[in-house]
Amino acid sequence: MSAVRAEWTKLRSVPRWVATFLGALVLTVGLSALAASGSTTDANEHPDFVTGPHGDAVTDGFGFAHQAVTGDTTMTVHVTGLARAATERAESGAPGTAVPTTPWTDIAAGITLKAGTEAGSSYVSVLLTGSHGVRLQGDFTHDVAGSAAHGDRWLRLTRTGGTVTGYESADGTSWTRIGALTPAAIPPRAEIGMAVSAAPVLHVSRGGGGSSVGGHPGRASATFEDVTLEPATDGTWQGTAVTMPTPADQPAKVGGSTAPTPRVLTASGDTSTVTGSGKVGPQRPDDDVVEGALLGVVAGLMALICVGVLFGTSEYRRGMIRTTFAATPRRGRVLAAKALVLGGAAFAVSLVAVVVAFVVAVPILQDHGMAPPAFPSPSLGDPAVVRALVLAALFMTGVTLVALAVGMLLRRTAPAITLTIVLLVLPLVAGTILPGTSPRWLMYTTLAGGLATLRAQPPTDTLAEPWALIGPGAGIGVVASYAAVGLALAWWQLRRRDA
Amino acid sequence: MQPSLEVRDVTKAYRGTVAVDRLSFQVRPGEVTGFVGPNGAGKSTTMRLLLGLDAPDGGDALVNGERYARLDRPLTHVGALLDADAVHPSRRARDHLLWLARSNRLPDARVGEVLDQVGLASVGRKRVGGFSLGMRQRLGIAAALLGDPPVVMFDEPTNGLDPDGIVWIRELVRTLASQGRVVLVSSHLMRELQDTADRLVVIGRGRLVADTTVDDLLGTVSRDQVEVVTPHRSEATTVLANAGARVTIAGGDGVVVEGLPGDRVAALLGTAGIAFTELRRYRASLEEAYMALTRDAVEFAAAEEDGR
Amino acid sequence: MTGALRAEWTKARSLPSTGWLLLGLAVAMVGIGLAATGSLRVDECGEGACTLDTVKLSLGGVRLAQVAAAVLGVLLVTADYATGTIVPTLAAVPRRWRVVVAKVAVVGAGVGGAAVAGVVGALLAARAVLPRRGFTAARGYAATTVVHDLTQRAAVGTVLYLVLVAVLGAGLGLVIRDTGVAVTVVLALLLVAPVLAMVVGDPVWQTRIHRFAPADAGLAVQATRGLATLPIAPWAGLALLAAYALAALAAGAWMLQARDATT
Repeated sequence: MSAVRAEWTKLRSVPRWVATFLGALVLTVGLSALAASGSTTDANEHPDFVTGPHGDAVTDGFGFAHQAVTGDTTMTVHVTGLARAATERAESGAPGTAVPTTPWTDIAAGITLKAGTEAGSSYVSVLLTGSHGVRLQGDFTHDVAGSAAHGDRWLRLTRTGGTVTGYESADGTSWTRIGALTPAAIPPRAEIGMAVSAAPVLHVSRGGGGSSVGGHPGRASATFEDVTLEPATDGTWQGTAVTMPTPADQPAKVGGSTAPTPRVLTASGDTSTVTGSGKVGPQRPDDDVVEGALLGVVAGLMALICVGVLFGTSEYRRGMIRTTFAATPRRGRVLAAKALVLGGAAFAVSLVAVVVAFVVAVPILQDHGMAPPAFPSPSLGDPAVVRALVLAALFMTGVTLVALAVGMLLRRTAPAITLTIVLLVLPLVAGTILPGTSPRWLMYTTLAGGLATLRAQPPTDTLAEPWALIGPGAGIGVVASYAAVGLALAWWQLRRRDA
Repeated sequence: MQPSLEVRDVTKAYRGTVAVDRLSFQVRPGEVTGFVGPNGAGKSTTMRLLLGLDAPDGGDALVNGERYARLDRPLTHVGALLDADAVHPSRRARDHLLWLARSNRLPDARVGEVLDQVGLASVGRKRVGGFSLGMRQRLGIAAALLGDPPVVMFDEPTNGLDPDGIVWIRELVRTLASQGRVVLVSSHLMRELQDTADRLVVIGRGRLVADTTVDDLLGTVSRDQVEVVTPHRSEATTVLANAGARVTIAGGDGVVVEGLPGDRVAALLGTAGIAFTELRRYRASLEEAYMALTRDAVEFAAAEEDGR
Repeated sequence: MTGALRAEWTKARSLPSTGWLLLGLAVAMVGIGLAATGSLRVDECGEGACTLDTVKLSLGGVRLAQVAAAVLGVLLVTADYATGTIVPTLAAVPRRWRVVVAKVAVVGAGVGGAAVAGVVGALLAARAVLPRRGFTAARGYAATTVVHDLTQRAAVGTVLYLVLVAVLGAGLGLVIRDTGVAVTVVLALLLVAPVLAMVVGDPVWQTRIHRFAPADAGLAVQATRGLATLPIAPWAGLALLAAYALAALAAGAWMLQARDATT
């Protein structure tokens, strides 16, 4: 305890270090605000989304062979032969690396109950996907996983009052319930039918200082057999391509070639083949408002690294370490006290810095177009925001502790600061130059990965910033490992080496 | 031209704190000049001003009648040891002297010569980081001697030296003076200079307190003092005090009498029948003289501050 | 003046860190260049119209090499302050501008020499590696030769870039005097701006950063393809970096002249 108080006195009694802590705060907030005012987007003026039942940005496009039903109903199908269209497979030699699919961006075929054929309307679907098994999805946000089956599956969707339940079966006789959803706005009279979707195939090309994302529309078809509808209707299946509205000021773009749109529904006997193109799901931009509001962290870290290293190396100038060890002979305790004091101070300063940066920069970003509906509006109460802010402060703390450990290990200021900054920043620069997703391993192995903590959105391959390739947990894990290993090495060396 | 060091009415303040205040003195060749004053009196500052490291706020600090910055190949004019720690620890001793030599176009061979002269020849190829303070002190002196300058300035050269080293440096300083050089040696301890210095420049709080020879300084302080050694100290004190003298008890059986000449003291004691074993003119140690002087300086400064 | 030059040269040469940093600079140029060219796929951007700037990529080691150059520039100045050697330095060479000129000349010569070695090594390595990875003249990639105009400009420009970065470091060292702070500031200047340019959303601001940040502007000189879309012309970018470096140096020289030696 006395060692902690001694280290605290050392830290606060050097005016330059106190000033540097304040500098870290000012740099974090200032640069965040500056970077925010340098960010603009026209995502709301030229939307590539429609507004979903919950008011968020969604995309809605698929092939729908449907008829109207009223009230409670049950539909059963047997889905086989879900595959991408042949023309599309030929195109897959596109540049860059294919972005891995999610349950929302995979090809899918199944039963959809939907308020109407207008894009963005409320729906529930039970779907067999290409590689994410069976899913029960609804209203562009809810996603319940079923079995991991693929290729051939019986599916059933039952509407009972306001609730829609999904079932699956391998043989059409023994059924497993997947789950139930309550859609936001499906009127009593709604459309039900066979649906096939295929999200655009994205290829990301990274390297040479930036990233570019290319995509071409996806197209898939599937065969439906043994289609039954209870109670039976006298209607017939009607094929409709549900599509996103074309912006008024843009000509309709058809990816690559202007091939005629194939028929949605081809029926032969008991077998129906449905072809669809488009994605049904959330259309959140990868750009992260929270991250955009915290970019100053990179600059604040520079100041913190400076203090962290100096707090370590200053012991070795003018032999102060001998005085320190004379006062507290247990060296491990000295190091623990140093880490505790520096870490505590760094965390307090960082937390204040990121919260202020968030409060200052988010309104600036929203002024510059990063506003609803295209972008979510983050608030200090959101769990994802709280997580990002706390992890960002911990990230800054971790880097400061790494700086302390490096300073104690190298005992010299210039190499220690250089090494820490290089470990933090150079992988970012390298990450934009290296091609493909190879920067991912750089993020998993260097301090730069810690920047993933700034993001509230899930990881993505499509952004230029390499840290978006990994999740916040991995990011803070890398930094924590560095800090732990660094401090352990410093501890070991302190005990072994002469002062 | 005769070598010289001269400070003329120099004033220097650092962030509002006056370090040197209208200081003037001159150092002559052929003798060792001690530069004394308590810690913080302005000795180092004065030397830095003489070397052009810091710029005076007023007045002139001159070496051989020139401002330092105007000297060509300054190491051949002045050699100075200011801070023995002012060496890069990763550099070898030889290399430290080598770059200094090259900066003033001195032959590289001078490096070996001065290393020999200060007794570091065997460790010239070692890195300075491993040197003791005494060794770094010798390295600093080697650097000062590199240009064989007619003027040398050593700031606290005996710091960190062992007794052998202290004797060595005294001899070195005396030798340098006897070769007709200007030699200025600072110390905050008068006894360091007692046996070495011929002249003294005493400063306190940045001001000149005394600029005198050692003999004169001792004379000033010891004037009209007589020391009497007697087993009957109290009787002697009474008699002498009645005769108008100021009497102070000294060590042993002695009393110091001020205000009466020696023969008068002897007569008085004889008349009173007080036996004494010894009677001599009292000679204060240099340390006492210096304490007396600097105490005055401190009081003077304090009084002046009160008066403002 | 020759005295000051030889003195600073001796000082730099007699510190182990100088040699290590210069070696590191050259190794970084060659090593990272090899890593970059060695990981390239010729079909990275599909059939035909690929415009990978192989020269720029093979000189990509400059991003790490600049760290060595900047730190060396800072250290050759601040080591004097950290150890107190500034006192004998200014006592030996009282005309302080000579000290500045000598330091810059020594930094420039040292970094320049190491940079030439590193750049030539990186280009030779790329020349050996790239054809084996399919970058042949038949696919639009002429062999990397130093005779080629643009390659020449990239090579010479990279050497000058590293020298200017070192001078920038020395200038900031003179202004700041503290090793830790000066190293932090110069590395932040060189490395943080590219990261910001990467994440700032507005293309106008991205262009501004690429145009005015010292590292981005200075490295425009490495481009051998897509010259029409550069945010700043190659030599203009290098000139801008030179302006930054000289401004820092002038400020440092002025402060050295005006301030007391220490404090």
